[in-house]
Amino acid sequence: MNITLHLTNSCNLKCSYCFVDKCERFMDRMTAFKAVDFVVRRSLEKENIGISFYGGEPLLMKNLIYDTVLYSKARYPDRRFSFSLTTNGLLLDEQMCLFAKNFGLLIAISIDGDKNVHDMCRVDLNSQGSHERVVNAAKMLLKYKPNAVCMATVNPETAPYLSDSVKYLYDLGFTYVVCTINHFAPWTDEDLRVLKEEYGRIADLYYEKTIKEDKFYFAPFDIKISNYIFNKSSKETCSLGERHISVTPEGDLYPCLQLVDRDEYHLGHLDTGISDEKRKKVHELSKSIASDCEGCALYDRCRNYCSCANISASGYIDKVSPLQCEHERMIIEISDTIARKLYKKKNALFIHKHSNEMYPIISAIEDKLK
Amino acid sequence: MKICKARRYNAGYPTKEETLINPELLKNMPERWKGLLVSGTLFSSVLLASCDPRTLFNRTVPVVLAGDAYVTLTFAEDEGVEIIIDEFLAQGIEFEHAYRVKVNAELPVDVEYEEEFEYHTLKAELEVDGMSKDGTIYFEFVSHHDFSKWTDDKVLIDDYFTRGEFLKEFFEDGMFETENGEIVAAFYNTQGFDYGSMEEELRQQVRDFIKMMEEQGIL
Repeated sequence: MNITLHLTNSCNLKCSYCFVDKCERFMDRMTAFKAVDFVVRRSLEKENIGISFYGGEPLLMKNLIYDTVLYSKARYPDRRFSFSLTTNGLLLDEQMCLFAKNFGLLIAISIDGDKNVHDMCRVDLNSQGSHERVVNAAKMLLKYKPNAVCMATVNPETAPYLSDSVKYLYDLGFTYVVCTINHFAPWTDEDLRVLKEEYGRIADLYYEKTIKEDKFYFAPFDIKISNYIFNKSSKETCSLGERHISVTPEGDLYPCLQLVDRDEYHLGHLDTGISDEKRKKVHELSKSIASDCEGCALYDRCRNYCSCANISASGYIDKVSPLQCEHERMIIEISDTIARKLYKKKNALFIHKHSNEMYPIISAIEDKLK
Repeated sequence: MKICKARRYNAGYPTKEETLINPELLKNMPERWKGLLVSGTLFSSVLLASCDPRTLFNRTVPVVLAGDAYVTLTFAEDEGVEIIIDEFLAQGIEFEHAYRVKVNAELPVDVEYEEEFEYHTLKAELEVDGMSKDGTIYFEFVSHHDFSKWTDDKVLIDDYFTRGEFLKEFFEDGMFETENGEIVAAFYNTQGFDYGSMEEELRQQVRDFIKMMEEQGIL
């Protein structure tokens, strides 16, 4: 079971593509602790409990993060937690990095690429670029957490620089890079053509790194390949309302972070409990087959079940957008091309990365030995 | 930009189950891991175990013996039987899988060790794994599974490995003692760190058995 705590809607950046309604809302300690109690109660005894800190900028609420992690561990010593947060990096400091290292807090930092690309969208409240500050934070983070994840958002205007951006992030020290397209943006066919070319160049980089046995994780390629190899349907990854709950600063419950503050998806409150009837209804809706997709050979491999993406792009939970469809076909085709090439070469790293269930453990140990 | 259904699609590479049909694929370890293999470390155990497809299927925890951490690889029943039949054939003797062929034999069920192994045995029915084409000689590949059966499933995997050597000693003449005097070759499961040398050891057992049979004029 996973829970996302929306610690605040405030942020020290005003990124052009951000969908969060910025206002002065802050979660208090009692709400955070109640959320922990709530997720523990709803989880199975041996189950991993994921707690994500989200914003706005979650590091505006550093003390609450410390308190919540410590509360969870002290109050429920026999339960297994994994903590994560995504930050713009501006408030990241040595203390937080050390805490993250000691308490297993996964930190993902948002960097879109080099200065030119990053500062196109990610500016501070004075409209100044944030690149230099985030890069300093990233270097510090990588010292403590070499397996830290870099999150890059791709927009139509930054798409032509995507492969250079990914190379830049790799050279900066990130071996885990997660790229997501901005589903709200007005993508055109030409933008997608450019994006495809850029993905092709990243595919070459991925191939080259794998052949050289350099560690390089790139989502969405790795997700598509891994899900296929492990016979995992995309359906399993979206646990809308079932395995995931988002909590607002005031303690209201929603099925997904993109659906927060939408009345029609309000599931309840930490004080009054969750409406299982509503939760099931939302869950069923997310599982209903989009009629446009029925019979598609890629149905199980597509993110057509990602309610976040569907809502963002089509306005409906159960309806994919043409952008989503084009993008998914593109990603599957490119990912499979790399996978076929590496499999034909019987590349040991590729085979272990995607078929060896212990690979993540080995990889984590390798990081520690670095 | 439009929604478009793919009519047919073939990814062109195998899923995990298909990959693991060929155990050699996972035994091929990335070069960069080899540099991390330090004898006797727990990390080495994890690495080696992860390259064993059976470990992946069964999610078996690597075997760790106190004080000297290592993982021991062994052959699965089917694998061992295949190697034995193949080696008999290489030596010009045709053997095949035996199905439901039973003999009454004295089976090892426990062992104590001080200065030498002291065996506890019981007489029980044994279903053999293979037989010669003419049906005169049987063989049994003693796997962990067999051993568990004989000992009423009370043997944990580490006990098996701790006591692994005793099977080698017990079958010092390479044969089961059966009630009706059938010839039943006993091949013990080899253990080690690489499948190549383990396979060679198992094949050597077959060759030794053939040599013994030849010396006795049976073959």
